[in-house]
Amino acid sequence: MKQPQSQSHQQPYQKLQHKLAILADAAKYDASCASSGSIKRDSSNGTGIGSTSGGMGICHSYTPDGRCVSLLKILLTNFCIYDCQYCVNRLSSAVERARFQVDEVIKLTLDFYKRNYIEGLFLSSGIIQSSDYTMEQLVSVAKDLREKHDFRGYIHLKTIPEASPELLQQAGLYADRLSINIELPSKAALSNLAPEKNPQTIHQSMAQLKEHIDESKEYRAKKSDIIISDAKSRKSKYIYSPAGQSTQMIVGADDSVDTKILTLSNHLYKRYDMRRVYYSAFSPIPFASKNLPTKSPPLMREHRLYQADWLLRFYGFDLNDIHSAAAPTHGMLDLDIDPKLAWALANRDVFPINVNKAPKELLLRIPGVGVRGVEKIIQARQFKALRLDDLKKLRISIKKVAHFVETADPNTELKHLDSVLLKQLFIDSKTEQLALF
Amino acid sequence: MHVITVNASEFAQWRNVSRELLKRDISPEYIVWQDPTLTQSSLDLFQDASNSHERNNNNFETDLSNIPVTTPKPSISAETLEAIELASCYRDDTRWALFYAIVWRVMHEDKQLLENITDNQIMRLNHMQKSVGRDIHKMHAFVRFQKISDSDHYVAWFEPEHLILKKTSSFFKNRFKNMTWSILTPDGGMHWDQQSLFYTESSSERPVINDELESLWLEYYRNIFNPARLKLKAMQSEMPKKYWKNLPEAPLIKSLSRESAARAEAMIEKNNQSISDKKLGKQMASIQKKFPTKTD
Repeated sequence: MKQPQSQSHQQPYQKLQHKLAILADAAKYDASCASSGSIKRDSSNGTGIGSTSGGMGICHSYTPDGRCVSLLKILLTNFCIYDCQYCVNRLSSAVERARFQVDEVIKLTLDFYKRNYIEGLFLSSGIIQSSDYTMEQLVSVAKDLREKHDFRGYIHLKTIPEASPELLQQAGLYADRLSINIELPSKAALSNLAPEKNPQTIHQSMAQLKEHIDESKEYRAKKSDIIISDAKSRKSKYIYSPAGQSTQMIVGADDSVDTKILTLSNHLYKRYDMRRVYYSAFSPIPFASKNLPTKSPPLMREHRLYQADWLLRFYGFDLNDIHSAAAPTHGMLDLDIDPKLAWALANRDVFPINVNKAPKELLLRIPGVGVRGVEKIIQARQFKALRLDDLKKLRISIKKVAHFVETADPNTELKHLDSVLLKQLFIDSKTEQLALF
Repeated sequence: MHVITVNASEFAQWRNVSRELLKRDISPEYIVWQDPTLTQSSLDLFQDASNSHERNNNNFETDLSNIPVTTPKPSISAETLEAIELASCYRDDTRWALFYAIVWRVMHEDKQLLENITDNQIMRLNHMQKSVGRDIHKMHAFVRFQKISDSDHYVAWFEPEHLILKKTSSFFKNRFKNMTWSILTPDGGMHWDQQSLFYTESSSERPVINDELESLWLEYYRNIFNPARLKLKAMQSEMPKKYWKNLPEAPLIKSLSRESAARAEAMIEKNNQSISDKKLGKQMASIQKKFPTKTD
C-alpha cells in the first residue's frame, strides 16, 4: 500500500543526500579538519548543544585515507565563477554541481552533532555571484548556528580573501577558526594557474585577520577571569576567531622546490601567526586542466614537508638548517629519510650528543627523538646516568638514535658516525622492516 | 606475620583500606588484594560455599583490629593519589596491589618516586594512566547516538576497554545538556534527562534502533574519503579494529578500500574530459542566470 505522506518525506531526503554526496566530495581537497586550539566552552548554561575542549580537538572517525574526520566539511555550493586550474570545482570543470540552502547546512550540522559524529562545521564555498555575496552566505550559516541555535561546537569558515573587510570582521565573531588559502608557493604560479586570484589581496586579508585576532586576544587577556560563551557575551567580550587562522598550499602543481615552500611557510608563521600551514599534495582530480602536471607528487613529499614544518616550529630549526638538510638533494627534502636525519647526516660534527649532559636544544637535534622524548630524557636523567637500556624504557628507538648519542655505557654503534655508508644503513633497515610485513 | 587478604573494587575503597594498612606499617608482601568485581566469578569456580563464606569474613577490620597503629597519620601527596585514581580505571585485577606497593615506596623509600619514569612500577603506573586516558578520549570520539523515532531520546551503545564510564559523564553532560540521552555499556548505563545524571545496572547487549539519519552520515563518510590516498595503516592506528563493531561507518571501510584504486584511476581518466570553450561560456552564463548579480 502506498503512503503518500512518507513518499513526500522521502524525496527531499534523497535529494539532500545527493547534494551532500556532491558537496562533501568537493570539499575533500581541503586537508584541514582540525577542531583544536579554541577556547574552552560548553553548554552547561546554554539553551543549545556543543562544547569545545580548549586544547586538543577530537577526531570522531578516520577514513581509509588515514585522515581524521572531526568536522562536517562541506561546500555551501560547488558552482564557481573562478577558473583556478588545480581546482575540481573550477568553472571549466564538468563536475556535477549542487547548492545547499543555508538552513540545510544548519540542520545537517545540528543533526550530525547530536549523534556525536562531529565536533562542528568546516564550511567553504565556490564563488557565486560575487565574493561578498558568497561570504555573506557563509557568515549567515555561522551566525544562525550561534545566535538562533546557541550552538557551541567548533566552526571553521573558509574565508574569501576578496570579500569586504566588514564581512571578514563579522566572520570571526562566529567562527573558532578562519582560513584563507595561500594556494600556491609562488606568485608566478598563482597568476598562471589562478588568474582571478591576487596574491596581494590574499596577504592583505591575512593581515586583517591577524589584526582582529590580536585585538581580541589582548582584550581577553585583560578580562581573562571569566569567559562567557553565549552568543551575546561572545560579541560583548569580543571573541574573534579564538583558534586563530590557518592556510593551505598545494604542493606539486608547480615546480617550486621544498626549500622555497618552507621559506614561504616560515614567513606565514612569523608574519601572520598562522596556527597551521597545511600542505596538500596535488591530487589527481577528475576533469583536471591540461596545464597541470599529469602525475601527482609522491605522498611522501607531503609527509616530509610536514616533518620539516614541525622542525621549524617545535625543534628550534631555522631556514638555514632546512637548507642544509635539503642541500644534498638540491632543495628538495630527501624522500628516503626524514629531514631531521638528513640534517644530522649533513652536520655530523654536532654529534655524538651526550644524553646525560646536553642541554634541551641539543637533545632536540637527535634524529629519532621527539619533543616528548626529550622531556622524558631530561626528567629521567635526574635520577640516574642514562644507559642505552634506559632510553629503551623511555620508548626511544635504539636503532634510530644509537649512531648519534653518548650514554653512560659504551656504545659501539658510534663507530659508524663518520661512515659514508651511514645513510644507506638507515635505508636498508627500513626496507628490511618492510620485507617482514 | 601472616598474610592478610583485603578487598577493593573502587578507588575510594582501596584508599580507605590502604590508609589502615599504612597506619599499621604493613609491608606490601604481606597483603593479598582481591577485586570482587573482576575476579569473583573465576574464584567461585574453584571454591565451595564454605570457603567463600570464610573469604567474606576475612575483611581487613577483623584482621587488622589486633594489629597496633604505629603511624597514625600516613600522608601521600595529592598528585600521587590523582595518578592512582586515574590508573584505577584500568581493567586489571592486579592493580590494587601495584598501587599499594607504590604508595608504600613513596612513604618509605622516595617521596619523588613518581618522577622516576624508568622505575618498573612507575612505568606500569604511567602505562595504565595513558591507556585509560586514551580510552576516555576514544569514548568521547566514538560514542554514536541513535535517535529513537518519534521521541527525542538519543541512545548509544559503547564497549569501553577500561572502567571509564563515570569519567566521561561531565563531557557528555556539558556537551549535550539540552538533550535526553543514554549511554549503555557492558559495565552499566549512564543517563541524562536534561536535569540529572543517573546510572543503571550493566546492560548485556546493544539495543536495536533504526535512525534514518545514519544514511546521511554514511553518505558523508563515503564522499569525504579520497580514494587517491589509501593509508589503511594510519587509519587503523588511530581507529583500532576493536572499536569498529559499534561504528556505523566501519562496514564501509572494506569496500571503500577495495574500490579505491579503480576510483583513483577513473579520476585520472576523466582528466581529458575538461569542457570545451564553447561550453565554458554556457557554464558561466548558467551560473550567472542562477545566481544573478544584484543591481542597485
